Amino acid sequence: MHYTIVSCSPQNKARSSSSCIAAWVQEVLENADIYYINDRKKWKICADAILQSENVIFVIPLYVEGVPGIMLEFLETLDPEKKKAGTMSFILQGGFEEASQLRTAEKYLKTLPSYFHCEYGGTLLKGGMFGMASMRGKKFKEEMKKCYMAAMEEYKKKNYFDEKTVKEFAGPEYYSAGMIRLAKLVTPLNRLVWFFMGKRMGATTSLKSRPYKCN
Amino acid sequence: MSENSKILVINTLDKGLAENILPLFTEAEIVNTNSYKISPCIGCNSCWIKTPGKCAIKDDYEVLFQKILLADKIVFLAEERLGMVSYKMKNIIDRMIAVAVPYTCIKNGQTRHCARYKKCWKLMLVVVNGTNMPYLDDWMERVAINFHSQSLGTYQSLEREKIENALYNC
Repeated sequence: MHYTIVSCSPQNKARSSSSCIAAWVQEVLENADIYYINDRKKWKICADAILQSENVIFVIPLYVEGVPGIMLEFLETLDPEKKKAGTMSFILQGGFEEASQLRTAEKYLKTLPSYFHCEYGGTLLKGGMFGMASMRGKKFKEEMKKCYMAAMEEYKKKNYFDEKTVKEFAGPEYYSAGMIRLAKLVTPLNRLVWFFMGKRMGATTSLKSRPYKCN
Repeated sequence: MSENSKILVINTLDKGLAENILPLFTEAEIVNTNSYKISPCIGCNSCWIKTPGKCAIKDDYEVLFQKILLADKIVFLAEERLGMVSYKMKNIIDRMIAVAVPYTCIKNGQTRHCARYKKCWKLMLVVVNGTNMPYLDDWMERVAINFHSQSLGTYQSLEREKIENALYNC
């Protein structure tokens, strides 16, 4: 079985968690090609591959409760009438830890395949992935690689992300009351981490700056 | 309508689709974004870290963003495509992330990015060719939560009375 994997991050490959995950997915599936929509020059090739493929997996970063605008722009170039029947599956990742943060986007993804006359193959979703590719260190990346590859082994058996796999992979929907109390306590630490991250990335002003007038 | 309420209509519709709906917004500043060059968000985090509050992409979005900051109510006028707002509108909303700071807080039991400006916008989504309205309504509620704002609801462009009522009487 052949798979078409599409990394839907607008970032370049080196910085993109989606591209990282796409590579892990390819490693498990073996007979799979990856396409990257951050390169507009390759959109036509990517579009042709999707239209001809029976098994498409989109790897998507969460952007404001949904998919990135660039992904929508790309999808709008596809002619649904030319799409070969098959399955569209999704791997969705976001910055906030709680799985509940991804559910609105997941709701959308459940309907998206129908616009291309395809079956929905499930959405594997995970939070807490901010900066996974470039900022979180080798240990975290290795840990995530193991998780994703294990989930893909399950996917390979059925050709869709089943509910059990998705639920276990996603983790808790919300923080527990204890975690919320702890999160509030460590707020100053959160600020400090961002302060030093900012310095490392070249910030020269306060991260709370208000450069424009706002009534 | 509150005397001091400034309404901004962000129109991403093609001229033909917008003709019938735009006259509804007599008391608003209308921005026809088809003449604007607005690139998609590239997720570089510059607006959070390197140039806090400012997008690193140099295009016409900066002008629009400054209008967003000065408005009290924002109407997003978009066509529905593939069950979602068109990419043009999603690009605009994605790049609004600069209204938040990277610091997080817990609000109503969920993590949120803290607000950069002490402001609660009232946001409305008006859709042409809408077939996925319940979903879009949910989505706009969540968008408003992300931006520490309030949703005035999501409407089909033909629901003129409801739009007027929500916009001018809330």
